[in-house]
Amino acid sequence: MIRRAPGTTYRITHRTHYAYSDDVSTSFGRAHLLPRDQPDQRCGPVEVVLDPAPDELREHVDAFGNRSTYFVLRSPHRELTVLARSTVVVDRPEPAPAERPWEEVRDLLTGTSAAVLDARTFAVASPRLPALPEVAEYARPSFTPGRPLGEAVGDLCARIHRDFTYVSGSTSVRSTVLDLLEGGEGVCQDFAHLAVSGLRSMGLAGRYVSGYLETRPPPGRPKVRGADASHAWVSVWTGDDWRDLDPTNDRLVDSSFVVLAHGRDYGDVPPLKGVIFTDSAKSVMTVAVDMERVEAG
Amino acid sequence: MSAVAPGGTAGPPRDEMRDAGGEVRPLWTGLAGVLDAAGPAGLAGRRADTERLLADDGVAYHPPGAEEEQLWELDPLPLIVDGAEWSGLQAAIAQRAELADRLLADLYGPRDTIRRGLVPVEVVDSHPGYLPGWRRPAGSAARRELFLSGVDLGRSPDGWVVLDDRVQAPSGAGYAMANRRVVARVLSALHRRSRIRRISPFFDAMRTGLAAEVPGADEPRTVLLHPGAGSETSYEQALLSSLLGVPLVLGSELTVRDGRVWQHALGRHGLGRLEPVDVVLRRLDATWCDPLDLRPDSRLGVPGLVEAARLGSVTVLNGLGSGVLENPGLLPYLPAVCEALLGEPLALPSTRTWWCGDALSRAHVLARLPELILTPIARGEGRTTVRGADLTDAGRAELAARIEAEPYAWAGQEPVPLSTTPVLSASGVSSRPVSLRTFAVATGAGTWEVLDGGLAQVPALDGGHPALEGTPTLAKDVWIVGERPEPTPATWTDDTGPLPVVVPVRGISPRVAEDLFWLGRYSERAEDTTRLLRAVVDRWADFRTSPEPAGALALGALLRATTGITHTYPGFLDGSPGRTPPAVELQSLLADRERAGSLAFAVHRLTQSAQAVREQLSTDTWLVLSRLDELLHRLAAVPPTRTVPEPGPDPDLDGALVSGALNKVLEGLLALSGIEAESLVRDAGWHLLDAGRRIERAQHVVALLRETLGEDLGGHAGRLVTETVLVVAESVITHRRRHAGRTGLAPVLGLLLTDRDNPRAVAYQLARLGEDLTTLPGPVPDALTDALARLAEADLRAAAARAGDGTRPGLRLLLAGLGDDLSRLADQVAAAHFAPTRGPRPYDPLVATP
Repeated sequence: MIRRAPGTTYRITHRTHYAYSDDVSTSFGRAHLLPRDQPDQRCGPVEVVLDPAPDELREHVDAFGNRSTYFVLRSPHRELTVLARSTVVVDRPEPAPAERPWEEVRDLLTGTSAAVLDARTFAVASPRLPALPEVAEYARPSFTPGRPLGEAVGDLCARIHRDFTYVSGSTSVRSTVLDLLEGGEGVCQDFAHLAVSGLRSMGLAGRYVSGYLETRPPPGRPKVRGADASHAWVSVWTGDDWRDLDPTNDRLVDSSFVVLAHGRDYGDVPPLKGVIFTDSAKSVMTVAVDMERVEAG
Repeated sequence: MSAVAPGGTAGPPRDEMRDAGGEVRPLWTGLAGVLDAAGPAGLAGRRADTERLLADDGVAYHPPGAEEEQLWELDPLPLIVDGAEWSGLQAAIAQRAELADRLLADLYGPRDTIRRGLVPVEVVDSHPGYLPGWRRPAGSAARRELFLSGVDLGRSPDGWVVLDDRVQAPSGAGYAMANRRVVARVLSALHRRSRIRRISPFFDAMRTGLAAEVPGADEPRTVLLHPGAGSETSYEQALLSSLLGVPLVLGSELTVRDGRVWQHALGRHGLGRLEPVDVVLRRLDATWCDPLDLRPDSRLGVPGLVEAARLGSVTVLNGLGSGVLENPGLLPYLPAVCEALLGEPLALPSTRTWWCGDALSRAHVLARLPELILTPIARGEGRTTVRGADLTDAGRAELAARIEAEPYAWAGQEPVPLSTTPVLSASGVSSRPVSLRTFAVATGAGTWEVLDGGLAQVPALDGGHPALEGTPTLAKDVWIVGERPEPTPATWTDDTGPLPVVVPVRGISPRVAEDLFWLGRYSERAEDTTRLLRAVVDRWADFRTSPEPAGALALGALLRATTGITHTYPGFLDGSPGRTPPAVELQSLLADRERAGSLAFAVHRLTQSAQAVREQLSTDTWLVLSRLDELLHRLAAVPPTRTVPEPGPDPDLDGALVSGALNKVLEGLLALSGIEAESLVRDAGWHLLDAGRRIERAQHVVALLRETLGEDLGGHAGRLVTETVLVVAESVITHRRRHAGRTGLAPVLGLLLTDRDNPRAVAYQLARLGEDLTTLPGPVPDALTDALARLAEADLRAAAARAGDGTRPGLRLLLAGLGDDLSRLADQVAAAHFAPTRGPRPYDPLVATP
């Protein structure tokens, strides 16, 4: 008998479709759509498929350890489908509570061990997350003296969940953390950015994580296809390792999450970006994500 | 991790020219003598000479935010540096360049300096110039990161210090060359007898260095990527392009395909040819270089450039990640980094600097705020350098809070009391603080050539502070006096091989093709407009106040025709009571640069077209263009006057004066057409320039005939108009010689339309166009064939015939057809040979939504 690996297996398809009002002559794209291999998740077969077929498609692992896909289409087209398919096994046991006082974790961020150096990169401002006094002010109440790090970060995420309203489409990809603080509404990307930036304002290391969260249909109802979506959350360095939390849903990141990529902020890991050469005045984008649990059989 | 630059400063600023006792230093006696001998008038004369020579050479600078280029501002008095002293500095400048290259290779590679605690990771990773996408994969070989290095130096009472490192895309080496060319003429006697080291070997070294960048390739193909003709230092980019023999390209002229960079080229052998590019020398800040992987809104970059560089198929110089070293936060760590990477002490100290990310340094900075200069480690929005001394207590408290909130983003620096040097000012000679930008270029692994001189800068006004951004400055030439010693063997390598030669990409780019075509068109348009206005102004002088009715009738018709030919409606056709007085209208057609159709407009566009292809043109071009500019300014200053006797309420124009000025303008334009004909290689670019000129001239003749002879005034007035047409079309003499005594319009039409031997005739233009366009790749446009057929079939006798209402319907029909053919022809040439104007546009962004 073959022993099955423990964990939950997901099959994910992420389909992005563009329709243009005129010919696109050339299209250059960059995708972060294939999950990372890391200790708590292992990838099976993964691929990025384009329709029309690309003239070039190349993959490499970037400076953050993410899978990065480059593609070029050089034939005129009015539609483009980018389909990412992956199978991934997630086994993310509940972590031990991060008991170190947050100040101690902060003060560890002067060492030069490989792990600490890696964390220090994420403790400073990044292109989309400048240091802002408003963010520091928002984050500070969660970091009372001597509070264990896990508790403090949990509190920060709980407050973000409580203080801000999730409104789909309320922000654009260019929204800043200030827009969220002032407007009170946002999407997961904004919540994750606020948490990351808040951690950094306290001298802690925070990463932006892009990925998926399995959604469950209401009891007794079938799952709607394509209803899943890209998700984003925060990862904090605990002094020993990284711990992921989801401020949008105020929960720990467990085996119902799949990590695509992480970076300093959204700008390092957009699922899909690119440039086109076209006279097309208009383009319509539709996205459908399916995250399907493959039952043990 | 705390580190502080060594040394302390003492004493008053040094005077470069005079010693502490007020005596002129031996090195400066020559210049001091010139200053003493000149007297106030002489000094003013030197300043005027400098300006004139700069204008003649076309040395320009485009201040950020300004609409137009302006003249480069240069003080004629050089900064003089002793050759023996310079040798020490040179070694130190080369060392700093090597250090920067090695440090970049480490920061984007194994990061040993960070792992060993020599450089704090925050000072690197929080800097906007740090590009994670530029990191090399573990185990990969180091690549060249720094090719051209700029280091700003100042001399404090303790000696030379580094004020700033310029490693992104340093500008100024070309201006140093331009400065030298001018100052060598302004101070020619002194220049001749001083033993000044030459600047040009630096550019030879740069060529050698470029060739050495691709060790495998015999002929590495190199391009100079620039932001366009409207950029701050486009003059210098063009100069570099011609000094290096490397084509100037826009991002839109390059493309990445199969992991390589290619240049679109328009050659003799086919359309849309792609030439591979091995080296991209960039004058574009890194973030703009690739809209795919860097700034998505950049329209200046090349999508896929980062990918191609990652694959190693192209060398980008300086490396796209090099901006991270324009970083005062790094300065305190350089002595230790130099020991670690080069195994020797740092030869030249930096400004004393404390990086606030270090707790002890921060405490030091905060305690000394009022004495220090506070500088963000990267300049950007809301981040400017301030002097603590300039702040109020509240301002200091606010700054301290900002530093506490983001300590790693700030550094404190001790002000450097810069040495002073004489500057020619309106009031004579004043003394101002000076800084010196030096340049080093890599000529091989570990070997650097340092430019013997540099770009010195002084504040443009007395009391200006050079450390603060936005302070207007004047440039200065830098004279290194004393023989150049034999080159010493390089410190960091013993590799000496034969020097390869740089080979540029051949063929011209579609962008250059288009600009040359427009240069041809505007050259011709300016010339045609000048001839037209000169003839009209002469008629104005003849008939404005003449009692002869036929003259007045002819003048009116010519004025209305002028409006039609120049497309400046309503112009002279305006009959309303509130119309612009004719003299004012005429003046506007001469000198209003903002008005399309005017002479000044055409000359302005001509200048802009020339600026856009500066690197293609003979330097004499600027001599001519600067004279033209001067003449048009003078024309603009001649107001319509009332000094001439006048019958009506309208102001008059001094015809003789204007006509004289137009003769001078015409002289300049003829000189320009001589340069275009005699100083340009007959490549695809020249044929397009000529095609532009031919299309324009043909269109002008067609419009001229349509607007003047489409209707016959009859009698003496009609003859006056026809005569004027021949004058405007520069064909009076030919007409007299060939058709002496014959009257009638048909011979005139023959001379201007179908005579293939008359260089002013439409048929002649079409024949030349045929030659130009067959030389270029692609089929000959059908509009040309149509126009030729139309002329061949034209019945000029019928065209000359008058209808009962005085019009000439046959002529009108013929000209309308020719006009159509010619505009279609211009469109077809554009479609076949010019770059598409479409730029890249980002995908719709995908937001992580839940």
